[in-house]
Amino acid sequence: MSNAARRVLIVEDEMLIAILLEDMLSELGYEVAAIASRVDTALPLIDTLTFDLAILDVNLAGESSFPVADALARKGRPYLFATGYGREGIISEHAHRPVLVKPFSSRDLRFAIRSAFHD
Amino acid sequence: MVGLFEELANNAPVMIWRSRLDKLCDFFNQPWLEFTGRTQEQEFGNGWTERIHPEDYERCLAIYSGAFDARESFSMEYRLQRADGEYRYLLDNGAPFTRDGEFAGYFGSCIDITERKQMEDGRLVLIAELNHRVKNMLSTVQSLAHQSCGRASTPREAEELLTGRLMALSQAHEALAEQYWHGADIGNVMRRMVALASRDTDRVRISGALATLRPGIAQSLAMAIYELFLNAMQYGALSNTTGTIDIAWTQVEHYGEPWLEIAWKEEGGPPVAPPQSRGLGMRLIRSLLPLEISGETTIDFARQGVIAHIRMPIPGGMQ
Repeated sequence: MSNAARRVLIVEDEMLIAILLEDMLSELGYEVAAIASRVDTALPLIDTLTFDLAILDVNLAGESSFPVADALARKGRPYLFATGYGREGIISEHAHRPVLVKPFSSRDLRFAIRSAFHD
Repeated sequence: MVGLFEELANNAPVMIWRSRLDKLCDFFNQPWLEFTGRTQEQEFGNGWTERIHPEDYERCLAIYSGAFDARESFSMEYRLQRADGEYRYLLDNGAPFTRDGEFAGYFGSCIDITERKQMEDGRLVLIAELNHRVKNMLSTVQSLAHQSCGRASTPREAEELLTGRLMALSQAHEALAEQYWHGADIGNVMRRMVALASRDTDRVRISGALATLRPGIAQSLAMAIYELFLNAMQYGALSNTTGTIDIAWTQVEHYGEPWLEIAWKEEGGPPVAPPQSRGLGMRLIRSLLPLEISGETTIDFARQGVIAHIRMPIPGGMQ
C-alpha cells in the first residue's frame, strides 16, 4: 500500500516536538493533516478532518489526551501514542496500542505506524 | 506495678495494643482509643479490625496471624479509620512477650505515618514527572538538532546553529527557574534573547510592562524570538551596521478580552526579500506558535524591514 495519500493528525503540545514529527513523517512519505495541542481543539478534528492515523502525546500541558484516544477508538480510527512516560503511562483501555517512547528515531516511528495500521 | 504500667501505657505518645494466646486483643491504651473514638469493649477481640481499610484488611490480618503462629515480631503499614472518619496510615510494630518464661501473647505499638507517606508518594510522583520531562527535553533537543543539521551547508555551521538554539532554550529555562517554573516575565525572556543574539544591544530596543507568561508559552515565544533574531542577523536589520529592531508589547483589547500584543519591527537593514524556504522560525511563528498561545501571529517581509506581530489572550490582563 502506498504511503503517499496517508494523512496524519498530530496531537502534541510541545512545538518543537511537533515540528520534529512533521519532518519525520514527511520524510517517511506521510502528510500532516493538522496539529492540535489541546484536547478541546483535537476532539472536533476527529469528525471534521480527513486523516488516516493520529499520533497522540499523552500529557497535553497537564491535561490527559485519553479523551481523544477514546473518541478515536469509538470511531475505529488508527492511533498511536508518543510519550515520555512510556507504556506505564497508558491506561488499560488503550494499553494494546503502539507506544513510541520519546525520544524516538524515524525507524521507531515507521514501525509504530505500521503496527497501528495493522491493529 | 499496675499503676506504673497504666501510667506508661496511657501517656506514651504511641498507640499500644496487646493480644492473648488466642490472637484476640485484650488491651488498647488511651491514645489508641482516642484515635479510633471507640471503647475498649468495642475494640476487644477482633473488634479493632473493623476499622482497617478494606484494601489493607486481608494483608494486615495475614501478616499478623502469620507472625503470631511463628512467634516472630512484625512490622507493617496499614490504613486505620480515625474517629473523624479519615483513614490514616499507621506503622504497627508487634512482638511476642512472655510471662513467667512462657509465651503470653503480643504487644504492639503504632505511630501515624500519614504525613511521611504523603511525602514519599509526592516524591515518587515528582520522580515520574521529572523522568517524563527529561524525555520530552531530549526529544526537543533532537528536534533542534534535526532542524540545525538539515539546513546547514557545513558541519561547523550546523554546530553553531544548534548551539545557539540550545542556548536560547536554556535561557528560557533560566527565566522560568527564577520563578520556580510557575511562569516567566516577558521582559526577562526578551532581555535574555537580546543578550544572546546581539552584542550591539543599543540597536535593539525593548519596551513593555510586566506580564507573566506560563511555562509553555515562555519557552515557545523565546524560541520564536530567537529565530527572528537569527534571521535579522543573517538577512535583516542586524546584518549591516545601521539597522535597528524595536520590540514592544502592550495590552490590547481583542474580542472584548485583554490580549498581549508583541510587535517586532526591523528598520534600516538591507532591502528585504521574502524567504525562499520555510525555516524553523517561519514554521514556529506561522504554524505552531498560534497553537501554543491560543492566539494569532503575522509576519510581513516588508521591503523596509521585517514586521511581526504575536497576539495572545492574557487572562486577567497585565500587572
